[in-house]
Amino acid sequence: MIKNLIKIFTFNKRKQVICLVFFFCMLSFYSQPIFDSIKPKLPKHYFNTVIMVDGYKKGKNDLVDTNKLITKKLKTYSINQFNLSFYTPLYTKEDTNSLVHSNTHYLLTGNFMLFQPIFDGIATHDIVRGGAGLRIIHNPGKKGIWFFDIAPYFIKDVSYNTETSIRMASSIIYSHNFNTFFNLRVGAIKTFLYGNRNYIPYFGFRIGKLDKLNFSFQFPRSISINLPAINKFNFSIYTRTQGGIYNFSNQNNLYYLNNDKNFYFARREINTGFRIDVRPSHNFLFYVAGGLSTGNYIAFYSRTKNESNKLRSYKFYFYENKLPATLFVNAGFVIKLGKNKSVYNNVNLLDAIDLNNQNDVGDGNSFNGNINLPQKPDKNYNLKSIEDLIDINDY
Amino acid sequence: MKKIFYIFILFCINFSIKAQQGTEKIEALRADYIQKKISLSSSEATKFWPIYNEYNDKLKALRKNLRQANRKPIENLTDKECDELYLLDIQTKQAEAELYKSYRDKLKLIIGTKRMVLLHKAENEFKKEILKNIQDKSD
Repeated sequence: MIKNLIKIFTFNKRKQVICLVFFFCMLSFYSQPIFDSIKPKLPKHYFNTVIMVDGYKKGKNDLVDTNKLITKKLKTYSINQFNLSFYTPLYTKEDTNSLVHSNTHYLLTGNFMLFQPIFDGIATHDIVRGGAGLRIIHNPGKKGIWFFDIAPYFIKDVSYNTETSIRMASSIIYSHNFNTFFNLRVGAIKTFLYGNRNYIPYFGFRIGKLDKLNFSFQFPRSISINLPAINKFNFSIYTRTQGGIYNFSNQNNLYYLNNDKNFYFARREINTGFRIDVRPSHNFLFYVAGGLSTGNYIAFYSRTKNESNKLRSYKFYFYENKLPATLFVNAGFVIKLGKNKSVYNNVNLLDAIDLNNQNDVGDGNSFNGNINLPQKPDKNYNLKSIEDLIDINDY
Repeated sequence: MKKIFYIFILFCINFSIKAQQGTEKIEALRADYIQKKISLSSSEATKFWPIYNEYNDKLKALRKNLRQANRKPIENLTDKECDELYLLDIQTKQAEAELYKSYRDKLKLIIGTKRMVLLHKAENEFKKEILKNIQDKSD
């Protein structure tokens, strides 16, 4: 009897292993933090999904140099441009184990643009540009932020069903935060913004806090003085380049050599003006801007003659014109979707957000008004807005 | 072009009406308040705010989770649901205490014990100020 009892309670090796596994399972179950077992919903990313809609119109230039045959044919020049773009966080890798929080953000970017160069002498051409890209922003948790962007896109003159060109813009920028008042950025970008394929060094700095009066110089993208006046309004005086290089149908026989069906139309202008951003709620913003468009330049590049310049700037143009200043108007709205992790007073992430916004997606150069920065402190609140911040015992 | 304009106007109206008085503004106010009270150097702030924000995000999520679970009218709850709700309440309080301890320990390593006391004081003062303001408004 006693022997049998001993046999039952004596563990053989197999039982010992099972018991050990069971013991560790129970231990790990009970040692699981309560926070994880309750599973409250936490935002996954620091960046929101942001959708931007932008409309831009540049006034009419009379093309006066009648010695050129093409000028005579074109007569005037003006621009209509509509831009729809977005970015959305794909994945956020975060290391929060040490005292220095580092994180890497992978964003998917997308852009669709309808561009209409209007020449009174010929029919309107509808040029479409679209693409999707990847953006990586790395915050090592110290003083600097790394920014990488690749944006491949296609361009096509859809009015006459011409060939499609594939291009790619890219950026690499390092941003260093000396403190909340001063930030310095250096890097290099490949862009078509100046009407050709350009490899340009990036140099930028900001003096002043992001949510206060600040001066931001971001070559080659923009220069601006920003004044967040009251909570819902932001005023800025700015200079920002607009431009690109597009496939253009030769339907109007502007180019008579090589029987080319299409050629490249290049343009750039430097817009200096005043902009007002209105933010009625924390997830919606609209803006209106206007001013003077200077440095207006257009050129037509032969497609076949520039074929050897696959990765360099195009050289062979058959028409160019530098035009006087005109007026421009620009308006748009931005929608922010979803919830994000908090970034209050987090200098690095506030800078990462600004860096992401200053560099428009898809080789464009619009600005979304920094919609995903937290709103300025406002003393207009009610009991509902503090329900998750204050415990019941605090009342 | 007209269609786009109309959509734009609709969005403006829609979002203006639905404008939420979210917690964002209060949290921004709190961050400013604490920043002034505990005066952090720039290297301290770089480490402090990501941890402090993470703590508050988790705390907020816990409280929201509990608040949402309590939405159902008590008359419609079964005994089992009541038990679950009771357990969630206890677990939430436990998790809050756990979070408080683990994050305060981390923050202490960055700003030291003296300023941790200042932080605690600043948080309480801020709460009192907010509640007083709301009370004044309702009066």
